[in-house]
Amino acid sequence: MKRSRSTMKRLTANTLSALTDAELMQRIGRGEHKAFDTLYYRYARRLGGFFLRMLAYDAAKAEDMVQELFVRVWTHRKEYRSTQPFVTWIYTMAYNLCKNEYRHEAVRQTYVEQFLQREEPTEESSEAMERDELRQRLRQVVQSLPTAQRDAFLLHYDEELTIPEVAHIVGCPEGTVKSRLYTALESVKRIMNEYR
Amino acid sequence: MNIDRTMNDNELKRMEQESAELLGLLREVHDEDNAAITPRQCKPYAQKVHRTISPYWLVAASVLGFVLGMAMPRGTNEVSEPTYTLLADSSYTVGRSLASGDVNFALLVVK
Repeated sequence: MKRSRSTMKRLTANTLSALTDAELMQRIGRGEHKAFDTLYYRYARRLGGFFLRMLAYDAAKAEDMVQELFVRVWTHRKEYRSTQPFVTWIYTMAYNLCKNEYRHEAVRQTYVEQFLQREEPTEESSEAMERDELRQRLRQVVQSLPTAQRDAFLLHYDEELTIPEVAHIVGCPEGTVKSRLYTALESVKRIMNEYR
Repeated sequence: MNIDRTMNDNELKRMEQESAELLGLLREVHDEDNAAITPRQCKPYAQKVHRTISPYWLVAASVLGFVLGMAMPRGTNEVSEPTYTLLADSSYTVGRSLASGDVNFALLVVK
């Protein structure tokens, strides 16, 4: 019995969704466009959020960065080795893109200042408003951390990457990452407590 | 303070336990931020194909078009002498046949 084209399409999409990142990358390496689409939709939102936080909530820039990142994934698809975890590979590229953006510390400061000056209009109940304010305050506190601490903080607590993975991405020893995490967490906690 | 000192695992774990509420709030922020992202379509391979095609195929298509254009016979509205003669003769013969009743049109139609 002949299967309709839409059934075949759905079957292909389901098959691809079931594949691991490394298996998808193998297929992408052979030039399979559908495997690329699957990988893109698996990570686009997550990496979009990462860029958003790394670039002081500049949404347009974050979207451009996601596009730029996946163009790089496609261009460098043959360089990926399945022995390396895909998450580390893609986050290293994403992190390097952010570093290029922040080549000058002054640029980062401008982003952060613009974000800190922004005020979000709220039309909610007092309790929800309070929670919103708290979240907004937390965003501001994280953004105002020193760059190295903020990067480690976002990669570990937001992106849920392990300490060895973060160490690989930022290119420093694991002990240094732990110190940065400790100091960052201590600062965020202190400032948030003062705010309350 | 030297932030790059070597950190004991337990110190960090303790700090994380003390900041559990804060980390919960951080997760809320994370989910809210990610929900605001709407992934656009991304087709870098399509861009690449487009880039590969344009310069070479454009030149090749132009050359092919020029060659074919040059090879084609020129069109004209004038009827050449032999063609004119042939048309005139045919019309004359058909006219004569009709007038003399040499052609049985009824038979032609049936056939």
